[in-house]
Amino acid sequence: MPADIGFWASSFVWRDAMIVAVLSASALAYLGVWVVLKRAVYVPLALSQVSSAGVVLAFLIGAWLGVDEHDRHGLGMLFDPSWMSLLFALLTAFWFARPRGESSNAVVVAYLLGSAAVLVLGGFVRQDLHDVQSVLFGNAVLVDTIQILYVGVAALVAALVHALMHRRFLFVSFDPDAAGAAGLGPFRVEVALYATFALMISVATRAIGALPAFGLMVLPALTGLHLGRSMRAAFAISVASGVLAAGFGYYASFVLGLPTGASMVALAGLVHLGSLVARRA
Amino acid sequence: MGDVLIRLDEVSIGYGRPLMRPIDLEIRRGEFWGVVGPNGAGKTTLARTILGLLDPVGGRVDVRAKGLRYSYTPQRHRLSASYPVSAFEVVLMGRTAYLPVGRRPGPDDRKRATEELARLDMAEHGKALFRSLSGGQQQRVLFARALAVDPDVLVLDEPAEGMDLLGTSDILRFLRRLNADGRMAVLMISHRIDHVIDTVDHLCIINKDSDTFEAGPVATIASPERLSSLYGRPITTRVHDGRTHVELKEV
Repeated sequence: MPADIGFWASSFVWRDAMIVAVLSASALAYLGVWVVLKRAVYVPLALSQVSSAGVVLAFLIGAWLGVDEHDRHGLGMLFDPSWMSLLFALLTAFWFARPRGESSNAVVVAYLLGSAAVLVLGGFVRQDLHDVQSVLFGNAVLVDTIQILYVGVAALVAALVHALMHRRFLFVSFDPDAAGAAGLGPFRVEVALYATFALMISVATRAIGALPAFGLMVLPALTGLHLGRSMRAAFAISVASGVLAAGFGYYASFVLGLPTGASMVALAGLVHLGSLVARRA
Repeated sequence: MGDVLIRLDEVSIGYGRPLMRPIDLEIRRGEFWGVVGPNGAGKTTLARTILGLLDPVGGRVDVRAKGLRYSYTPQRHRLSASYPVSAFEVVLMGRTAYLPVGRRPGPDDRKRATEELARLDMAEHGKALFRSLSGGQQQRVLFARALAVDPDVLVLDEPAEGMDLLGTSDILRFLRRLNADGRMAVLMISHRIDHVIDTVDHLCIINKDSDTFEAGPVATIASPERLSSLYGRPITTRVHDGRTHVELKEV
């Protein structure tokens, strides 16, 4: 197929973007299993909005301080959009980790405030609109090589935290009262878990966009939990369907000229619908 | 008398503001306590305060002495049914709390979990998904998890919740044998006085609505007058075949 030849022949165009998408999808799909189990599916959406507000604020402060976007030093480094995005997401995650935080109105408040802040503060940013949009919502088609490093490090940190604390996360999520009575300190454990959500969401939102970051966190996890008969199987199926959706979604968007992020999410959604049908059959 | 494991000194329980007048309570090793009261009387709030899950509004709670182990089996409806975890994994969770971060449960932990499942006649269900078990079986798995850590203090919240006659009878028979060696203190919370009165040796009656809190040996506390006052209806007690029966008088 000519389209296939075109796709493979132009691998230098999409290679980095594909790596970032697949890396993000695998980490998000893994974390998504926890998000769905904790019935906190709107948490990633709220985290994404709040981290975007951090980005806009960083641009505003940067402009106020006269920071050159391409040459950040001193205070300019401190108010780098990446750091501010992560800081805002982490602070919000800390808030959500409070007892019943994820199920309370806190998520809605964070989402609405984050969205409003982006729109209100965004009007004051004099930066080229395209630059801001790209930083805010990512660009799954073309990514900087540095994004591979950001996403890779974030995924590695999240993986390390989960490798060390998996069983504590499970006990505290499944039965917080019994875990607390046993002296596990549910709040501390929840903070660690939510911090991994915040880390991955803030990095992935910037790398591949808000919609794919949210979609690849929730849809593959729903598939994994629908088909998996154990936690291990749920994680494996979730990661596999996330990677499949990201990889083939990117391919489909390239070949058919479709929006990339939306193609990934649509494919993840189709895989999930397929799992519902397969389970019934 | 065993050593004091839990001491409440002029403690006000509640969420932000006191539910009732301050209370005093002392629980020793080897004692089997029942906490009874109508629905919404403040029983679970008291248990959560005792376990350190909820800060008291006032007063002082002396718990969590160094090296002591606390186990809690909450009401089953508080657990999510969506987790694809096996009964064995649920039992193993209890042991997790006492392992250093990053350490996986070892052979000793697995052996202990297997033993407790077997003790509760659940050995053959170890690989079954927890969510696929019946209410009574789930309760047994939660007991196994609580007991697998060899607790000093065991708190059971509505252990017979949602069970049929047979399941309730089995659970209560198990509980009566549970503390035969007097190694731990057990606190059983229930709105069913008829379940508790024949199982425990100490009784705590609580009702925030009537500002009632009394605690002591069953023989002292379970008087018809006190129980009638607690539930707001005439109640009588009688001993038959060595067991205490509670009866609600027709009005």
